[in-house]
Amino acid sequence: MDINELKSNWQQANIGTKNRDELRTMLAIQDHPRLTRIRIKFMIEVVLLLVFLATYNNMFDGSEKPIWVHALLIASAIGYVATDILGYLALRNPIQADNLKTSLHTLYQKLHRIHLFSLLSSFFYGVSLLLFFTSSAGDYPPLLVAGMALTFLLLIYLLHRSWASWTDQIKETGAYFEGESNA
Amino acid sequence: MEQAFLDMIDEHQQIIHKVCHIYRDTKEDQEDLFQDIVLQLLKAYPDFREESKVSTWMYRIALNTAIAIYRKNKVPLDFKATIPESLHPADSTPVSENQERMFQALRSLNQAEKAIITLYLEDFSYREIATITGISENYVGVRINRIKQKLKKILN
Repeated sequence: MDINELKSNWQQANIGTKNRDELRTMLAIQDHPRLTRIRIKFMIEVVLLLVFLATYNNMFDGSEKPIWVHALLIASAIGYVATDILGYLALRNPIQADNLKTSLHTLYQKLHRIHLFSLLSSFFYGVSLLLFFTSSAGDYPPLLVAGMALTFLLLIYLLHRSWASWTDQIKETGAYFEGESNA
Repeated sequence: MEQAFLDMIDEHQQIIHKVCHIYRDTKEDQEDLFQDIVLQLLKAYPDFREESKVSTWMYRIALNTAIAIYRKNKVPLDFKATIPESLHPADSTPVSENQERMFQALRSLNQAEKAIITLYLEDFSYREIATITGISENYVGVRINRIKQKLKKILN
């Protein structure tokens, strides 16, 4: 198959047709099921955090902990939710500019920042929880605390992998368009 | 506004189908991408001034969406492998063997190459391809030649 044949095949290709009802239904949904799934995940995380913040004081002897530990825990929980929201907004608005090169460059910078914020806020939140549980002497067995720390590190690593696979895809494609200026 | 938008999508929907067909492997992923592209077009529609051709505008948004939206990495398909009949979309017009071969070859290119060759195959000028991709006309020429050579190797 030569390039002219390829061109003719491409221009003649007629793959799939959606009728007007299908298109109308698509427009009526207004939000993609993928985004709805992510939004539900974020909402569950936010609700769990709020439940935790509302109950931790009584459940885990919060009155015996120093004020600064409470402040740290609340600040880190807010930071965690804020990065969740930033990530969701980035998913909703993937197109950043009129041409592919600039759009991918801007999107990559934005995602890279959110990636870093996300890791930092998760780390900060994990450290705050550990400080909360260990801030008064003899609270929890060291093995339990070590287990919690390892779990947090594993979760942060998984979060990093998930962000990196997206940012790497964008970076790789962006680099192809940037190739001209690097050549 | 919705009626005018619907008319436009209806008339030019092959653009979206073709982009979905080369950027995603499975019917489910293609459907997801189709919906993503329609939603991004709907969002961008109020700013569409008709200074450019509808097809230019649609390709710009469709390619941008296909590349920018996160997809899980999958094991690459062997382009020579026969696609089981069950994988052909049931509601689609059956594609010829030659066309399926073409789509498999195009799917084996990287994301940026797919965008450039799609526009070339659609008969956009180098200038239009440069405007959509953001690279210079000369560089478009260089890239197209390389992609043509790559496709020649794959298809012959």
